[in-house]
Amino acid sequence: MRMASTRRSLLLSAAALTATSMLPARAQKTGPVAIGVITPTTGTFAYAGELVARGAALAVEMHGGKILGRDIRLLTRDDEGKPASGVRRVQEAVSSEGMRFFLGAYSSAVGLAESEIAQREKVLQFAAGGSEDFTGSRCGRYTLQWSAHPYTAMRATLDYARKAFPQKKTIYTLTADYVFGQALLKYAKVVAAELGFELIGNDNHPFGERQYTQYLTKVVAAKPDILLLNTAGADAVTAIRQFSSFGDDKTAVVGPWTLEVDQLAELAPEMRTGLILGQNYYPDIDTPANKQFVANYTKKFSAPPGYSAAYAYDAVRAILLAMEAANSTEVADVIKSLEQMSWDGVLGKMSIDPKNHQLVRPYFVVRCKTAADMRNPTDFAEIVATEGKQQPAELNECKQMPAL
Amino acid sequence: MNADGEPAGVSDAGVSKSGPHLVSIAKVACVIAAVAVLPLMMPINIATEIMIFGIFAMATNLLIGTAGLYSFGQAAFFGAGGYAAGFLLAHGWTSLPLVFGFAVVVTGLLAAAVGLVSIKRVGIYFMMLTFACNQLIYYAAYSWRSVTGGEDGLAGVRRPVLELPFVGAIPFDDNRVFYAFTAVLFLVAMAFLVRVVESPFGLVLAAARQNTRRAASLGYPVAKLQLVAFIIAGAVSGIAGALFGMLYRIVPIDSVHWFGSAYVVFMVVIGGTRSMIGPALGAFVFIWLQGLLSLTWSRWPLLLGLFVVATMIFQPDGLLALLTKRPAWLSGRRERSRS
Repeated sequence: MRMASTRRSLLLSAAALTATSMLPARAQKTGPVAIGVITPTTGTFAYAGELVARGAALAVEMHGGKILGRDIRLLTRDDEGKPASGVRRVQEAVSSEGMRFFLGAYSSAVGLAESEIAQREKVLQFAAGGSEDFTGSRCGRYTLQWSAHPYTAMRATLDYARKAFPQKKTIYTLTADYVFGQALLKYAKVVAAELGFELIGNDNHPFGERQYTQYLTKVVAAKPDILLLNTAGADAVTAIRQFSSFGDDKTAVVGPWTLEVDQLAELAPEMRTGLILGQNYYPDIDTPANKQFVANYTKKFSAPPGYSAAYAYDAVRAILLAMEAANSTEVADVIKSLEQMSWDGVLGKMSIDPKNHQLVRPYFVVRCKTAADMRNPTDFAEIVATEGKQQPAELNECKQMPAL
Repeated sequence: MNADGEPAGVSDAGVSKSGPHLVSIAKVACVIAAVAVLPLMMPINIATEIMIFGIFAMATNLLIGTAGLYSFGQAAFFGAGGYAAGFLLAHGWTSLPLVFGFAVVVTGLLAAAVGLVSIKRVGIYFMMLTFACNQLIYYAAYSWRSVTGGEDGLAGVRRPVLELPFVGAIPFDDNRVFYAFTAVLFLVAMAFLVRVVESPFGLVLAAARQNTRRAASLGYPVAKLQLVAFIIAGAVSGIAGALFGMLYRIVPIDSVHWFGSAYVVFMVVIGGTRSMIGPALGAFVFIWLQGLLSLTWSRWPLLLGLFVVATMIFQPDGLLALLTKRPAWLSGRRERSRS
């Protein structure tokens, strides 16, 4: 190793790199329109990736595979459920595949990381996830949020609880100790004040907790009218299983954003009977777009769709509708068109709030059926309430949408 | 530059000095040519990542290949460097020397702390301690939301600006300029680390790897020197982490996750520990394969695992040895992998 060669090497590399910088950036004006589906097919959320891809593929297929005379090409990429992999795949697809629209991601942490790329590269991101930051402190003109706001979810769920049990007053909350759970807890406080519930206690549990007895004994001792689960997925399944062994029939178990259709099968019928659950999507939703979606999806995949598939289907469908309305596949035109559009989506009448890019949409509350009432093995629950109250404007942290 | 597959240990010191000058120049030219051609072969962000993880892997190889310290906690320094630089960049300080200086100081201090705790333990205990420290730092980053952004990552990171006399300010907003910058840092890091490995300091580290007691009985303060190596590796990893934060303008929480520590060890071992080109090659193969395999099959980590297993069994000296010598399994005799 000699200094002379280092100096030469630096000069050489500088010269070589100047040459590479003269390459033109590839852009696509004709040819297929690339829509990215950036989802986890490995990692913690691996089960969701394939479902998202199915929903997106079905939306393209039902649209005839073409938009404004151009073919639609779906680019499926694995974000591994990790933010670092998500941004890598998005950036790569933008620069080498000419991707200008994408769905991403299933996990909020991944989606928020990808949002940084979306704003920088001016590509449209239709995200889903539990974080309120998508349409709050980290809102961006190029990012749209499909999932309901935690406020909407909490309000719809507790509104139903208020109507269904007028005599119930006190709530004990069990909260997952990460961003998602804490956001639900924040809005539980807001909504409880609005509706006259009293929060008498809260316990935070770490993500992936397996033993809930320590919290549940406190819950039973406090004798609340309602146990509100600000937790989701496998954690919620475990908590509900363990709570049912306490045999406490007086406390209603309510989950604003807790279990999806495909996770309900993991609970024995007697454990889930009577559960009140908020849902971003439920296959029984009575809209023409959803009926068509469920029929086609069930025919193709021999299983009813859930949240993941519905998100992808509906988001891709909305993007395609907006392209047609704008008569353009330019990102800026499509975003403007989405901001002004009102359309009949899978969930009902839908639009985008131009101030923060939250999808204005209904949220669904279901009540789980007894085993005897189930018409088929996936008929877990019935929709008992549909409501779409938006987050109060004064609580929104999205300051201003930048220009396109 | 002696940065190829030849042993960079004690026996090698004389060779590189008396070796033909032309060969060294040829090697340097090859490395530079590879760095220059890389962005033509793949998306620029992937090429940049390969440079960044190349720096990270080379720094880790100072510990693994030279000092024989199998640290499974290097992602802590990679992530900490990202957070340190990212915090300044997200809060308006964009001076390049300041940002990198801060990242180096923070990760150097952190590495000193972790090193003090773990360096005197050997083998599995050292591994476990570095791993545990990595987990500690991960959860610290996870909980310290006001600084790190917690689970959602540290967002709003800007790229620094280089102020040069007579030239003016050079921004790195263009991805190609940023690649050039990263590539230069990669070459500087490689030159620096090769220099360290070949220095008397590096030779004592290598001697201690081969026989710690003998090196100590010769009067060398082995633990102190290993601690210095640990700090150097940590600080250089911090630079790589800072670059990573600048690349995507976000420092995600998984940049400090122990997965990263394991991946970088894979990179080093796949590429080869006997030189600084090995880890760089390992970073290239690992990242490139991830991209390639993830397109072929949704359960692609299985294929990646098979590749790593096959490399370990058939090419224990690393892929670089394929280029420089006939592999053992081709010549029909089995060689024990050097530890």
